[in-house]
Amino acid sequence: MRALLYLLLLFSVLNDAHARAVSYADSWMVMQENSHMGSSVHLSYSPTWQYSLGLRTERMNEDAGKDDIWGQYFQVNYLAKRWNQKESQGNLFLLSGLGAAHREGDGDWDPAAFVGIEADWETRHLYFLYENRLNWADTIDQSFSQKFRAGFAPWLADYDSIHPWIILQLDHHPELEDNVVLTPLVRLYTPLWLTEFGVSHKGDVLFNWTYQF
Amino acid sequence: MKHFTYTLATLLMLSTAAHAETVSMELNGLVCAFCAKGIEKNFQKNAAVESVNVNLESKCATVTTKEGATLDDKTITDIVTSAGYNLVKINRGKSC
Repeated sequence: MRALLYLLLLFSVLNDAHARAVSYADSWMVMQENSHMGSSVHLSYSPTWQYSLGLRTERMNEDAGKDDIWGQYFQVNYLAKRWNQKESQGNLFLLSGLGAAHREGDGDWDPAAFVGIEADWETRHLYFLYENRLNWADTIDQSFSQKFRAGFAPWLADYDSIHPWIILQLDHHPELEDNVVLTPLVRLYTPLWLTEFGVSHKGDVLFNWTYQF
Repeated sequence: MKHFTYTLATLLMLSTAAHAETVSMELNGLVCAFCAKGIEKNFQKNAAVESVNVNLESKCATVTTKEGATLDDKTITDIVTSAGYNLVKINRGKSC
């Protein structure tokens, strides 16, 4: 287990993977994400279906001329509300992280934290998501970012089969020069794993994967 | 008469022999296989359960118990609720 954690930290980079913020009760989830925003690895445990505890390590890309920001956090996600209907499910998650951050090349770590919300609604055919994050890292970073997603399933699959989705993601990061980025992506998932890949309109590759066990 | 009694006793024993139970349940919120994994895992943890089958098309899960084992309504409700889903209806003796 320790070796796995070290390996995950070595490949760490930024941001949120797009499986749910909380997995099923008594489960572990590992998420790794890569995009124009940076990269991250997030390992979490969900004691119940309503919250998860995890460790996140990330690198946030900055504009040219600025050093990237590294962050290490203890993260708590909470499912504040779920709406279960016959043909749909909606969720509202509260996200939070507490840890430390520093600029690449600078040895000093500052205390850092983030909070955010994630709201999603989906049927077997349609999927919508909104997520935001407010970052604070003392003298290093105070920033806000948000993400929108809309997607559809080109065909429906049986429970144990691979489920395909076509999704359009819009990232808004006001502090960056390219503060709006559009990324069409393909999502594939089974009951155990999920992966996403796409290319933004700026030519940046997005690749995410999640495994729950 | 003795032969008839033995035959009747054998038939009675066979009719009460342990058998597996099939229970299906209609659920709300069952739209995503990655998310519904919890239903499957929660039921598999119960000692009475032999197998679980989730059907996204019919918004339903079917549980087959082990020989001689049963799942009462309260247990089923608790398992579904602790997986984060809403139980609509339980149907005993049939699959989804």
